Amino acid sequence: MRLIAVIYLLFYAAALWAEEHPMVIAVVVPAAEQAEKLKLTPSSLKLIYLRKQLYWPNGKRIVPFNLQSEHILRSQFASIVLGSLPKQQIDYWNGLYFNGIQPPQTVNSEEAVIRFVSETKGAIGYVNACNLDARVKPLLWIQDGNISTHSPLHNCSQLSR
Amino acid sequence: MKDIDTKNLVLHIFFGVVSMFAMCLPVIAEESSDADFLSGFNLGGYSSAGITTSRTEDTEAAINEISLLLTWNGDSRWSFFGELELEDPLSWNDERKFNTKESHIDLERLYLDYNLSENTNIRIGRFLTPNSRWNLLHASPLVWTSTRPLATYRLFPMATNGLMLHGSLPVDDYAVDYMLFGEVVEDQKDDRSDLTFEHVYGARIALSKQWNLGISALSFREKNIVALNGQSKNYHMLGIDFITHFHDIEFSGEGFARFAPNGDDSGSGAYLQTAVPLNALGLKDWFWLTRIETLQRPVEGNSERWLTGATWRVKPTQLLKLEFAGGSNEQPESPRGFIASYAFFF
Repeated sequence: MRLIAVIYLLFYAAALWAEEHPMVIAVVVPAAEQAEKLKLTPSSLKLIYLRKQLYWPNGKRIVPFNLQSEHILRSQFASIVLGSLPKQQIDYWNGLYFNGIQPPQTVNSEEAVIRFVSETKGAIGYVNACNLDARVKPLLWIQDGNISTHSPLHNCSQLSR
Repeated sequence: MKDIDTKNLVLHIFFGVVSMFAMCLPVIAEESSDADFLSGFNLGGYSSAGITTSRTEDTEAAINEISLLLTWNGDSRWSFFGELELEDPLSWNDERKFNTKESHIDLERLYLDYNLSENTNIRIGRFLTPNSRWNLLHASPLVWTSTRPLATYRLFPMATNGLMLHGSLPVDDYAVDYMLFGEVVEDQKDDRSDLTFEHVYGARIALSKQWNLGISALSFREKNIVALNGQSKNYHMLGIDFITHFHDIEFSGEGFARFAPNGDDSGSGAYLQTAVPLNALGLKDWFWLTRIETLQRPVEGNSERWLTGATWRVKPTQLLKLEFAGGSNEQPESPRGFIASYAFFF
């Protein structure tokens, strides 16, 4: 009985912690990329993920990566950056397909995002900021519905993953 | 779409492919391998088939079109897009049985895009005239109904051969798409259409915000072979279109007004359409459609249409459409009666 109570308290604390510390999303490009040449801003991020901006200012073709549509991070990213959920974007992507433009490539996990972004010229993706590593370079941060060029204060622990 | 004869079709394809290779290969050779070049190609398409029980014609079943979409994107700033459509490849009615007499090939689009900056691109070739949302997204799996609103195909050229400057600009939390275009090469004569257009130029802006508003301005010369004995007239045209959602109900519409410089009768048209989800009735992915339309053209007078029906989104890329249409005057692209069709991307 005591063990059950402890587990319950741990879950309750985790829920409270998660509520007060919502997930921070980091928008990443390959680590070798020179950030100032990409001129990535919150508004250009939207154009990139709507596939309205297809090239970086340096002329490289942009290769955006998405997580699969059921992924919690994808839903958060889509609603904050694009203003709609993936299932509400079907008509939009069909329309682009008719005009020869493919939606961002979809991968299954954050590790796959990091791997593909780090190995692809012109790539961009997004991951939980707590999962960042040296293979990629974060340029934008998304937290509490805001997109920022500065890293917010966030405390990574097992609870936020 | 304008049809072109075989010789011109071959010339168009030859010109397009040679241009693409000539302009892309030197850049590619510096930056990537042949394998990368070939992996830049994508082939897809769409098709639809249906049955029409018209008030005035025999019931007809047909494959309406098979359309191929070819794209190429590499590491350079160039990209290529082409759409080749086989229209009415096979039809059946009681009198003529199975036949391919209406079958013909249309080169709907063929162009190269060059990226000038992150917000500016230049397009060279044949493209859909960007003055109507429906015209830009007219593929059968993209539209709720089998029939096309009258105003979107009898008032302006549906395609233009020329140059276009286009791109998207970020403004606050939405995007502004812009397009400036002009005709360079006149369209070929089309024996199936009584209308030809030339000297086409114009502009369009579209806002990706709640109402998804589009505003277009266009100038052109129209030759009406039947009604005006081949006489040509110059027109300016203003168009407005929108699509929005309110409580999951989709509202869309377009309106066009043409102006003749000397104040002559010029023409106008509009439609309003709603798509209401029927989830509340237990019909998941079914939508109830209603549309009203009007078209007024010089000499030809007024035509009206009303339409009601239901469309099932079988899959995100597949639609099954059932509709009844009524109204005044015969229009070949918009028959009155019962129309059912199935459309899909592949």
